[in-house]
Amino acid sequence: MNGSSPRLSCRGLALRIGGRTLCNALDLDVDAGQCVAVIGPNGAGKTTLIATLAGLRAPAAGTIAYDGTPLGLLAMRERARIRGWVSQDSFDPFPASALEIALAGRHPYLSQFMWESAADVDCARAALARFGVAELAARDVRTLSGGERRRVALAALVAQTPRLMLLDEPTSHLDPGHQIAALDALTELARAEGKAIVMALHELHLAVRYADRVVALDGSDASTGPAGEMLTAARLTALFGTPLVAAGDGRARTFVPA
Amino acid sequence: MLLIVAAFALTAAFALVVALASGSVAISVPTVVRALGGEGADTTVAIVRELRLPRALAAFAVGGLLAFAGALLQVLLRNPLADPYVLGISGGAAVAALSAMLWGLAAAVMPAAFVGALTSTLIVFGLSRAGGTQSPWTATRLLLTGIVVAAGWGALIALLLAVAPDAQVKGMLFWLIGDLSFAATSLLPWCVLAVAGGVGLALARDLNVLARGEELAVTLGVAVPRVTLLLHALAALATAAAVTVAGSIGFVGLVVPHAVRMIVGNDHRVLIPAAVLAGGALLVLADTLARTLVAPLQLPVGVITALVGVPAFLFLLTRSGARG
Repeated sequence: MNGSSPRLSCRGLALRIGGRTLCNALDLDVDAGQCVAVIGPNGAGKTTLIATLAGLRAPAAGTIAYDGTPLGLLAMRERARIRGWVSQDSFDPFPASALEIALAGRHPYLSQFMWESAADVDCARAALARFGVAELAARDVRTLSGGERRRVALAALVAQTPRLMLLDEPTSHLDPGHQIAALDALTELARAEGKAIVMALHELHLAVRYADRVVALDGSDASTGPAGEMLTAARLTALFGTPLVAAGDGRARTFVPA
Repeated sequence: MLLIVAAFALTAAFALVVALASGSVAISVPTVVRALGGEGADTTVAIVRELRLPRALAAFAVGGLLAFAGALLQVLLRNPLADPYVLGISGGAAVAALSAMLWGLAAAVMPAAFVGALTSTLIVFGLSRAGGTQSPWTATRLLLTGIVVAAGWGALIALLLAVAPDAQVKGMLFWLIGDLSFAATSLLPWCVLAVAGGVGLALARDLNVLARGEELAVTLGVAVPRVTLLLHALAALATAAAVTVAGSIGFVGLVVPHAVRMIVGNDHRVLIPAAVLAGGALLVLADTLARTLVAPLQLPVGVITALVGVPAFLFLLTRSGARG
């Protein structure tokens, strides 16, 4: 809507699940081109936070806005043209080719009886190519490996052309080479086209490499700050409850158990 | 895509012609076509237009409805093994219809079946939501509630059969297995098929997305609560109409959508019309066999659908298994 509004902003966001409080009052702004990593131990609420930001579940309190417009004022289809979401695991009980999966990303742009146009197919094929799975277009996704399916899911997200990409562990099932290739592709796209990324991550070296800001969930509350301040041995040791020390330098810096 | 649907339409037309040509009096195909237009000997025209055509059309509509309902429920429950009866709908219809038979209310059998089917649906939906509104109508809750309610109906059916006089038991069993001998003249299944099929087709792309999970569908812009409610209503209405006309014919709703999916894939814009045509064709052929195989004796068509469909389905399954 407004050029100066952040792609995503939330104020006073509170998350509760099964009577447990995961976070009390999270304030977060994500600007165009920015990448935010959500980190924290198992069960701290990373998936819940990503799903809440995607509008899949209502927050216990607080507000969420896309491009300055409160979520409640956006119709389902409008939301689908603004934000895309990739779940932790793909779920395909029925046969579907990789191209069909990617084409599903065009759903919010097609009216009731419309079929996908040649331009939609091109968009889906280009998205598959971006993640190196173009040659798998005709394959049934249920016959692909976990990593290949993961890249097809990311391609479907890109085919949706969202301005806000919400990713729940986008690199699960990916080998180190494909982790870097996939996140390079996503962050380059975000910078080039002014998209914003919020992603839950387990690998701390990927947070170091790609995140501008970090949201740390410790199981009872959230803290947020610039990546450089949040990703230190002392803070991460406290967050994960296990001694962690820094290893490597620069972009290849990570944190390993002491 | 259109070619695939056209091929299924040709198969369906072929099935209808075979049904019109076969019977105690065999009629050649050109004669059938002329008789449909009202030309030829009066008896031939009467046999084709008044005896065989209504029954064949009823069979086609019922087969189409069952395949349609099965296709929807397989998506809604995210389970390729769901069938139109999985939520206990045939049990409700059966208890109501058999009760009507037992009390000698022949005219009330059809309306009773319809009311029974819809009542059972409402019971299943009501119970599966009774636990609270936190996660209404999740696929697993619905499925479990449906299975348990169906078991309850099964007990009542057994009770009705046990207390029924011997003379009535055969008629009741035919109804339970599925039988088209009394199906003749009813517009109900065709009206329901037209309306439900049309709405289903309008929601076909939503179904494609829903098949991969409700959360993904939400993020792709599908109004999931409204659309799933509508789809459940369509499936229930289609099944109720089919059960009302022909009793609970098994197998068509489970296997036809599944088999068609193996051939055409999971795009419901193609799958729905293809499954309706294939289900209709299958039931027309099955009913033709049911009334000619051991003529003049008539078999319940449900026996034939299972005997014809089981090997065909197993063949498809092993073939697709070998492919990948």
